[in-house]
Amino acid sequence: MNAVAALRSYVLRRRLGGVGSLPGLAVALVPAGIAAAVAWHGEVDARALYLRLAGPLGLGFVLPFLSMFATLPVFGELWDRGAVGYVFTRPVPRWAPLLGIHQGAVLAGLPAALLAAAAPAAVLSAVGPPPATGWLEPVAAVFAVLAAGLVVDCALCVLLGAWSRRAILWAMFVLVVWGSVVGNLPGSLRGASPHRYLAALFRHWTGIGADELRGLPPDPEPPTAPICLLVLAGITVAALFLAWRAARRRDIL
Amino acid sequence: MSAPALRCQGLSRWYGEVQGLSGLTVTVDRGVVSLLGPNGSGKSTFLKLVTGLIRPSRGHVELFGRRVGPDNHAVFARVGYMPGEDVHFEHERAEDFLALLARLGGDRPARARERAAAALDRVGLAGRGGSRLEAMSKGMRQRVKLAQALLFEPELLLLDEPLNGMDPISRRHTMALLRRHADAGGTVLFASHVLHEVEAVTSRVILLHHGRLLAEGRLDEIRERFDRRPRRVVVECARPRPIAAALLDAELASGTRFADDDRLELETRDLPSLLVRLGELGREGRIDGLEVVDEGLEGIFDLLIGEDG
Repeated sequence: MNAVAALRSYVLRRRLGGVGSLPGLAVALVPAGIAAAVAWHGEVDARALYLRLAGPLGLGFVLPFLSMFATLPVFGELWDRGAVGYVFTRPVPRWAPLLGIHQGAVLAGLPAALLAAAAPAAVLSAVGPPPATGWLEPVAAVFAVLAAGLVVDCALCVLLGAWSRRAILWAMFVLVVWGSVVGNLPGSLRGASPHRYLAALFRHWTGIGADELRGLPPDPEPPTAPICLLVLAGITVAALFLAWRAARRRDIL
Repeated sequence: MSAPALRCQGLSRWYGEVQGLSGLTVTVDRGVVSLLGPNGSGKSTFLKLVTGLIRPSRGHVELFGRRVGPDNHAVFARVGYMPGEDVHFEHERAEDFLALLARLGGDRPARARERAAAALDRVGLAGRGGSRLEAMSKGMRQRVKLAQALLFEPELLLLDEPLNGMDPISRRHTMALLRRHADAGGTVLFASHVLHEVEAVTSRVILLHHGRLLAEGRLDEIRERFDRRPRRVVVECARPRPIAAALLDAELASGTRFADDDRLELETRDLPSLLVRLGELGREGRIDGLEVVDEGLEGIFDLLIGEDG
């Protein structure tokens, strides 16, 4: 549909062109920076360090901020300043621009996600021997989990951006507190957080055991990968549906 | 018979305790109609309600017979809207901005580019599509905003202060464009607070003040309604006091005010007789000039606002 494609292109142009991409790239380089600092001080187990950085740090820090940087500035430009009036007075249903923004934000976040997955591996491969499996497999697995996380977290950001002028505050709460913190708490509460399912995917796709990884809490009965994907897809669809409902009701002042 | 381009019934909107628009019932169909009122009178609120960007507290709006709402987006294929706020997409090039909106209207990328170029040409910005909006003057950005409203040659144009910031040549060009649109069978509703702009484009007005409808119709009809009301005439003369006394004695003036040493302001309920007498005084060389203050739209507007309190 042309309206979805038009907004997708607009978001990609805004978030990847000029300085729009810099905050996301800066966040994506944090794991690589820590990897360099740790490796500088002594010998390390490259694979273990990589997975520690890519797992807890990637899911708990890089992913939420990357999603916020990719999505929320678009809502600041379009909704909070009233520019979306140009969009909503076209013969397009209101879900179409939201879907375009979501797709654009996910695509705009992917290069930074790839950087977050690959840069620590590049740093560690420069200071020590590679893991027995090589780097391609863990890097691809981490990138895939971050990409899945982007789909979910960007959808949540679309919901918050369409719903509230204070989307950044709500996003900090929803993605960081509810996502990363609650998702990492031991106990049944973390089942309510999408990060529990991202962490489980991370374990499945990197092939590490349930309690092997420091930084992620043990999960004795992690959901299977198909269940994780189903839950994450459900959260994405629900968030986009609620975003559409919010966009129908919100006044454009 | 086809439905009118725009019809609203009992349209009201509150912003918390503040009333933005109160019980507006109007119909607009074909030709140019001005939505006239001072800043804060409810013009922009009305246009945002008409376009569905804000929801009414009461009442409803119909465009071409279809009720406006978030699910009735198809009607916007027949509507072009130019918001009052600045264009916002500052970092975009003019042609990219217009092409984006053309694609939202259903065009494929190549067709959207062609349409954007044609719209820029219509507003006198041919060849300027490569300029970023932030590098354009306010008047040029206004024309780009107008171009986006014209993209699909809509039947109904809703324009919020379209002439703001334009230079005189652009104003004339834009006014001519609006008249041509109307002459071709289209409808233009444009909001303005500048009275002489309105008079230059149309004689049909909707007067708003404090969110309420003051008057609606042709200017001459509105004037006629107020012909029996006191009218004001300013007279320039060297000796205003004897002239004021004579006019009061003859009951041609119902009130006088000495605005200056050589300026006399008269209030009358019999303007034709007063003008005859002032003409005689002019021929006798006792007055140097006169101006019927209420003759223009501004006078009517002042009268109406005064009446509205």
